[in-house]
Amino acid sequence: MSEQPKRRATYTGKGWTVLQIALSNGLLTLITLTFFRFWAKTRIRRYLWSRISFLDDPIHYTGRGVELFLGFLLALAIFIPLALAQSFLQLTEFDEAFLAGLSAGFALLFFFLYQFAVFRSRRYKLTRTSWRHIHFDQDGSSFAYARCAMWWWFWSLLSLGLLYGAGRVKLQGFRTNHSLFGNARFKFDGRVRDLLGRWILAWILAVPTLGLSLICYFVGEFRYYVRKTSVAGIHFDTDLSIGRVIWIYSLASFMLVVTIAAAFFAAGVVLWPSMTDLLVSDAAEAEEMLLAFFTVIEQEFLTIIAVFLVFNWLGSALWLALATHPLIGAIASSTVVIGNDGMIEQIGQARVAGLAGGEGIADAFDIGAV
Amino acid sequence: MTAFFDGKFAKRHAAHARVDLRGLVIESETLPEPAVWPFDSLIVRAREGPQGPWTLSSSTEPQARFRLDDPAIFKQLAQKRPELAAARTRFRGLKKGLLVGGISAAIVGGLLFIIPYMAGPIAAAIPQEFEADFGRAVKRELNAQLTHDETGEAVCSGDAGLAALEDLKNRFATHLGGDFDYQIEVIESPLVNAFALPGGWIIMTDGLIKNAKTPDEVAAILAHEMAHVALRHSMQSVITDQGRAILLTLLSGGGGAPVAEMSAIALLYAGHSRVQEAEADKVAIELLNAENISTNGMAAFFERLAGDHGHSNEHRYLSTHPDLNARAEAARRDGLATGERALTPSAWLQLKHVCK
Repeated sequence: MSEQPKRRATYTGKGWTVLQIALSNGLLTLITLTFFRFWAKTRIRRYLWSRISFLDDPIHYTGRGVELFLGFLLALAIFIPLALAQSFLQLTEFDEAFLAGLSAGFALLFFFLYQFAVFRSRRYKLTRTSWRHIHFDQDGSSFAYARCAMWWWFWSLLSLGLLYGAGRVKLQGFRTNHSLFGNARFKFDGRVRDLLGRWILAWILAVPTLGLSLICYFVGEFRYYVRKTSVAGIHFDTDLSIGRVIWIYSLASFMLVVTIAAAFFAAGVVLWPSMTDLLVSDAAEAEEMLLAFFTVIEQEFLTIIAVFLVFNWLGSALWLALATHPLIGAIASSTVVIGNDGMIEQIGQARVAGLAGGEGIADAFDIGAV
Repeated sequence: MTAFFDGKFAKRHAAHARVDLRGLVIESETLPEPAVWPFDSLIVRAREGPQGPWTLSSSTEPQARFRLDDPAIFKQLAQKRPELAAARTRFRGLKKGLLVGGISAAIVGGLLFIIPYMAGPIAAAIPQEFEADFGRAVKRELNAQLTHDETGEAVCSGDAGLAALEDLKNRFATHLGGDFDYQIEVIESPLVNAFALPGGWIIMTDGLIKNAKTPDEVAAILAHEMAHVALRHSMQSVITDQGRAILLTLLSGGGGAPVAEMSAIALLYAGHSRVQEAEADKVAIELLNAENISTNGMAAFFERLAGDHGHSNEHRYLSTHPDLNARAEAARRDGLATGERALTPSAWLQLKHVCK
């Protein structure tokens, strides 16, 4: 194994280009009442994917916006009847206990469906990703995944989060072992006992370290996952540093806070005339002040919405360019592929027929961000 | 780097290309024989910049890809098939995305617009027993919102004052058709407002009663709220708000909030539409006329609120009831200039102290 060549992946994405794509995507999403978002996602994924190269060959994203849109319609076909059923049941009985039970039941159901969709979405992304024009894939049942996720969430909650780290490893194993590159299956060698102690420590220290221990844990966990993953005898390594991840998040968070502050400032400037008009009066009591405040909010509702939509647009584009993009860059360029050409080149396309046209509507059930 | 991928194995074939009469010929030491792609089978899959590299494929070998980085070769191909040079390199989904996105946005926008017009027929189809149960739940939520009492049961209990309101209610009810069970509650709140809820519930704040200068003013507000009930405005407002909320929630992909609570908040903050207010005013004036109560009280109340516009919280009534001066004018025009006081002085005094 030590004789095998180690080759580093590269990332050549440009933050400026990411920002341009994100800004124009956001604008088009706004003017189409969010309906452009499926094509927006496809567009940014195409760019980001194509800038990541292993052994000098980039990966490709071959998904299409219309597939995500159809997936959304499919999801609506499931969610609309559920939402209507929930509303209807809420109206049959107004007993507090009944309503609480009903909310809990539906929350569980939606959580299950969410986990189901997470796995489904991963499958979609993998089938739409190729390297050297060999496609990735994922098999395994989404129900089994969602069941596994629910099981571990149950134990996580029961143990006040101490077992959450174990659930994460189990689910990572489930995902990895059901992933394929061409006809080669990925293999996960990680074990809960390697990480659980570290997780418990990080979890206990989360509050005193203001969450920093969690970031350290997640980076360490990611490195562990990379080292414990293999496909067709090819292994991986990473030297992703905690400092770099913290630096990226700090910078991006700072910019986000500045944007949010600017949003509040802008909203304040716009609303100030109506505010003073109401507050200068004899509204002495706090409750009266609050009511006056709500009156202004109500009267200026559209202005407020407009201000926040603009800053949401800027903020999410900045986040993509300042957090997502550098993070992908850091992860890709710290990844090392350990394996010789012979091992890699013998991996074949899995199902040559049927890939070009996709696999129907069920595959399009995608909910992920990028 | 010029490279050929056969689509069968994860292998890069270092290749070089030439153009002959047959088409694009791709040769590589690692390929058993050269790949020959006829001109009319060529497809440009991607172009990274104006001078390439280009990713080409052929309909004769759909899984294979050829990465060409020599502009001279591409020029030769484009001479044989000019459409290769014209191949779009920008994001292909842009137009389709805008088309489908625009149509979807128009459909949702249209639904948002249509909902208020569908609310009337839907409200009329809802059974009264259901509306009564639902109204009770909304009332509890609204009460809890205004009194900050979580049980939603905190009401004023001055018997004589309530009896005065009850008496007014019965007088108006005889003129209103339908078998509504009007029920009035007074709650302690600085707000100057009254609410008509589904199922015949009417909530009046003691802020409104204290603000009123004459019993005629309270009578006018009561008549107005009873008109809302008789016209089933509250159910329509709830259906409109819920319909819009469900539609917008689906757009953003959120879960469902408790209906009764959301309805209470909507009635509290958004109130009724302008058209509904005008309808309720019209009926209220008829009720006052029928009971020989002057509409001067109604007009005075509206004018006072209009005059205080923007100066105090007390006039939240205002933000949900626009055009107060016009409404006051209509009240004077269509109602009686003089009449009997709505309540006797002693009943009025009792009502003023209904909360203590």
